[in-house]
Amino acid sequence: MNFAEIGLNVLVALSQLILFLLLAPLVTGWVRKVKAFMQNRSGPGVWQPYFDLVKLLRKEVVVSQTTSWIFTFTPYLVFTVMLAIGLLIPFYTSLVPLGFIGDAIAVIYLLALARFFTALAGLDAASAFGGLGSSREMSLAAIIEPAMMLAIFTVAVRAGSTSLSTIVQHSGAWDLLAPPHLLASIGFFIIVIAETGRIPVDNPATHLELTMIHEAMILEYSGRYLALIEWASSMKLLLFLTLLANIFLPGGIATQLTFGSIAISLGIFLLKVLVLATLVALVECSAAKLRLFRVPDLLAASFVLSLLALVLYFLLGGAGHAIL
Amino acid sequence: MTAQFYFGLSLVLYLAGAVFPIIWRSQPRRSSYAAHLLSAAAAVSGLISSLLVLLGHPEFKVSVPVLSALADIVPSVKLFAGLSLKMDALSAFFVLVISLLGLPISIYSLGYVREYEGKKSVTLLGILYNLFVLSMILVVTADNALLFLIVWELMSIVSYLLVIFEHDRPENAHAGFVYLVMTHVGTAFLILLFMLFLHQAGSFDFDAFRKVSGNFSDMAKTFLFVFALIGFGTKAGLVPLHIWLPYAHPAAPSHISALMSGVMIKTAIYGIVRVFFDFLQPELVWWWGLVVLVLATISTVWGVLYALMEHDLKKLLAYHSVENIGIILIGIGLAMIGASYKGDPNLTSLAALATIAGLYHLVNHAAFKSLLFLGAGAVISQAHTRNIEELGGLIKLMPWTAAFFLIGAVAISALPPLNGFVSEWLTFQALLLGLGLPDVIVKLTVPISAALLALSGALAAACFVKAFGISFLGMPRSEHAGHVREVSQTMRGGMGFLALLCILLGVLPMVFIPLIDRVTASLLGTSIASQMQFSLLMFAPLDHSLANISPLALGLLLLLILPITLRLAHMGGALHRRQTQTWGCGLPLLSPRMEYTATGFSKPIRMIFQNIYQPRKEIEVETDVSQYVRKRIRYKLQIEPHFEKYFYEPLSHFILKVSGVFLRIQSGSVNIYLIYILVTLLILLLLVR
Amino acid sequence: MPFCSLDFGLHFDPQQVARVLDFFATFILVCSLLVLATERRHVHVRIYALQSLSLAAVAFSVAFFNCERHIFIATALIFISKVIVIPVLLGRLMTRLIPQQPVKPMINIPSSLLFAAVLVLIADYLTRNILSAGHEFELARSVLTDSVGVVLLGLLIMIARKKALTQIIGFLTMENGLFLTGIAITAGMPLIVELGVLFDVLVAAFLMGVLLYRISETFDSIDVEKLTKLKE
Repeated sequence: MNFAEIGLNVLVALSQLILFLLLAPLVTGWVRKVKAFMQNRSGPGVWQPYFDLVKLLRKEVVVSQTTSWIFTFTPYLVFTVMLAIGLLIPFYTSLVPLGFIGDAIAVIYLLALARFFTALAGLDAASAFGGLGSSREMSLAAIIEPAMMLAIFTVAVRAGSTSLSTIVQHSGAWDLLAPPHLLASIGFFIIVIAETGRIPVDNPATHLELTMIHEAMILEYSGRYLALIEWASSMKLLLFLTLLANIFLPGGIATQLTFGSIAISLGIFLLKVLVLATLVALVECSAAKLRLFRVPDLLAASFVLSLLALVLYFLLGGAGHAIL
Repeated sequence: MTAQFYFGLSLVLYLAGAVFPIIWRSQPRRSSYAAHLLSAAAAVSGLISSLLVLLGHPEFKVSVPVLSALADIVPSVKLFAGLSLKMDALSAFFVLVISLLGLPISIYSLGYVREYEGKKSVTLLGILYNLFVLSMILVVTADNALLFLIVWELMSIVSYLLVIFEHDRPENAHAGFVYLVMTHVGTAFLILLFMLFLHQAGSFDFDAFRKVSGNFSDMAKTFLFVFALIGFGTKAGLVPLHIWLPYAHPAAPSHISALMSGVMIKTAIYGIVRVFFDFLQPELVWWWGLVVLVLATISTVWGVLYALMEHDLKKLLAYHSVENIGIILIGIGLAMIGASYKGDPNLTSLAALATIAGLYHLVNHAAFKSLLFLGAGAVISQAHTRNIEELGGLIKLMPWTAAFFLIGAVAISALPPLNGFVSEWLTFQALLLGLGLPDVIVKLTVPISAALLALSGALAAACFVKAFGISFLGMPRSEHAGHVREVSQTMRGGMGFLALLCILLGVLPMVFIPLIDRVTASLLGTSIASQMQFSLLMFAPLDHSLANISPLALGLLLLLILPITLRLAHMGGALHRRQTQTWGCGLPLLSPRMEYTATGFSKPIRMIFQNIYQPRKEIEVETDVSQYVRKRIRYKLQIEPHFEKYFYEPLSHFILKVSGVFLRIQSGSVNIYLIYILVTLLILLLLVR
Repeated sequence: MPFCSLDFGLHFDPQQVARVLDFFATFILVCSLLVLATERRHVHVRIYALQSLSLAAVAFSVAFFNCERHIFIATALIFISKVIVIPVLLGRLMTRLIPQQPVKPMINIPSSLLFAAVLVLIADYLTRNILSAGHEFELARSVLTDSVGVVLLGLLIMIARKKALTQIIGFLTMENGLFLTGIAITAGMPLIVELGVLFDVLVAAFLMGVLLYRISETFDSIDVEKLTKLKE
């Protein structure tokens, strides 16, 4: 690898980091805007999340006396983990410079690390709300994870690898009409809804104790800490939309690092993310929040769809290429 | 010569550790120092010896000279003459694990056994401790079935004595009884297993066993499999043979629990690997591996589900041992399936990868589980309760213990960048490759197994959020929990060593995995270290294109991004931080009684999996003036262990019934018994005439 | 009047056509799974409408690509009866039913979904034997798998759920599965048979609706368990 190539890779990595960081609040703002539109409200502008973040970053932090270092450490850790994931996944080019550090399974487990500490922070302030949120979050995560692992297995078998850049490179080979694609993408979409805490699984806008999950966990956070956590959850939304876009809506991703191809694929990427964000907002508007104990039903559906895609077509059928 | 020397030295030191404490039995402090310092030295010596063998020192045999000398004088001892110990790669690996834990646990014990001074015989504890470690070393190095059974029994009995060490607690006697019964059922099956081998081989020597694997009929092979599975599965705590484990492990003193969970149950894994990969490898049948895989998957989920419902800190950890044994055996089972297809190099390397995944998880589990048990011991020694509902807020009073326990919790939840993640990642990769196995049933089982492994990982994370969050965070829920103090330096040292080990095993798998590869190479004949593409930054299973991770770079990446996060957070200027009370919906002061409880925490999971738990709730309401004024509400929740209720209870009833039948011939009169003997003798004489 | 591909002078690769059919057929299967995954009645009706729409799409594709003109009529009939009339009928019925306590299903949702997965695998196994490789219908195999799967799932819905309305949906789903087989595999039964079947279904749905309304009036519930009282 010569000097120019290293420079190029550093550039790509940095641009990915900055894009991930700066684009995330916009996606959240866009989802909110679409929701407002659907509900016949004008709603705040798409840039509102940025203003919120800036405001929160400046505000005083109020911390409970009961808390320990876990409470202070968690926002930084969660944010750091999200940024790290931003370096591992392909956005507009399948050549991820730091992709060798972690594959799809590592990404799942990094998310679990962030969730682990958020749940601990929820318990740290000794408030019953925090405990409630942590308990619900961890329980739901427990049933999301098998469905997610199966979805990853489905795409990994297709690509013959769990490395995200290989998966995305192979996504072009997905046949949009093929039944396994239909099954797997519906399965993964359900996971995206559940993981990013959207209606019908969780409501990001609620502060009602009966329905809160994620919000209850972070109820004690304020000011700068809250800003970091909110920013991190925007990044999580963008992360999952990116995975959905790049794995299940193939085409348009740059496989070479030339200026032209990157510019085109960046445009296509933004378009895809915007479309998917709109779709998420539409689902949020058209569905009612499920009772907590109905959520496993939804995830069971995702699980069965991925299982059928995997077993019926890739393992038993002719559609798959055995990876060994 | 050196490896032999260190190995011998370590055996001698353990023996010395079992003898010397007697000299100072009137001075508990000194006797404890003698026992534990000697065992620490022995562990270092064992560590050196096993590392030498794993790094290329030729395998060696140690015969027991006393016995061979005796055999020359008394011919009837001849049967025992061949008793010898052998250190090959597999044995060395297990000696390594035992020694790696023996060292920190010995250091920890220096401080921990002070707890027992004046209450119990510290001398006895020290002696049993040394004997226990010694017996485990002998189990994994025995080169002869007879010797194996003898030291296996020694290990069982010493551990039984340790389980009932605090015999003044009634529940410990019960725990000891269940343990004793189960472990002997297991041993009985092992005796049957070795008898089958003996029948073919004509000798108790393991070498002879290896030669006769081809001689068994299909029927006999099936019996071999079943006997080995039940015999070793009992010790390993494989569902449904796990019922002793959640009783016995918590009953023992905590440093012993650490050893039992960390290594004793792993001797069963040793047995399984030894029998299936060493003796029977050419004769493996594909469904054996499938049975192991299915039982292992069930154990994984079952163990963690019951751990979630447990509020006894040590019992919770014990149930997690069932889970982790399951994860280890998922790797081993997959390897057994892969190895049963001989000649296919892809499947052989799959078997090697799966074995490495299983064995690496074995080391990792040993490290984090013993760390957690030591942490639990530290908490219990201070708070005098094992019930996490009575703990809380310990992180402020015991910061070191809390930090170490947190490291253990993150590791066992398989979160990066610690060690549990690396081995689960390897297991997932092995499962992914396992989709390529030719049998349809295997193809259907493998994805389900992977999903359930993911489920158990997430449930384990939930369980340790509960265990750590309820006991270390928030406000103290009882008087005791408010007055704990940080534990002594030796105890912290022991835990710190293991915490460091968890981190190192997590970020430097490329250093440890080649060592394990020696083991699999010696067993399966294929070394896959060259295929695994190690470099300081990267490692990949079998093929670089399949996947790769870099735990070290991942850790570094997180460390590098942290300053960026801090910088970004600093955009808002200097941090203004105000401390105040937790928001309590307007109530002036929150009391610990308003905190979330462990029972409440696990409620959603209890609801989601209620078909499995079948919880029984009783709510008693005492009313006073009218039915709306409640004086007291009692809430009782019970979750029954299903296997005990639906399998073991009927079984024990049946056995009691059968015994009742035999009671008729038991009159108690000596004369009658003599008649029985006479009749038996006559029949036998007539038969062999 | 030009209707189908040949009329426009277009020629499609039969393999590609089969893939389009396959896609819609899979979607019909997914709809059946989704019916099992929820307990909300109006969602059931909507999913049924969606499923029928995909069935209409299958019919249209067969008619268009294979130039089976009479299937255009079937398409129109499917569209009118199954996408519009029956859902509207059921929707209106729902507004008239007495709101009630949720009825606990016979088999809970996650397990019934797992059963469903097993049934689909069985369907796959069955059709694998019927149409082994090399058969002229090989391309249609996965459509056949889907349709057998949909029929089995329809039965499962009727078994697993106790609400009479959901059972009607189960019945209609099953019937959609049969129609899928008819259209996709044999390129359409004779028109008259299809007309008859469609009419039958319409009448059946109507009758069941009336019956359901009566049950609801009589028992204050549409839990079919209550019907066991009738034997007394």
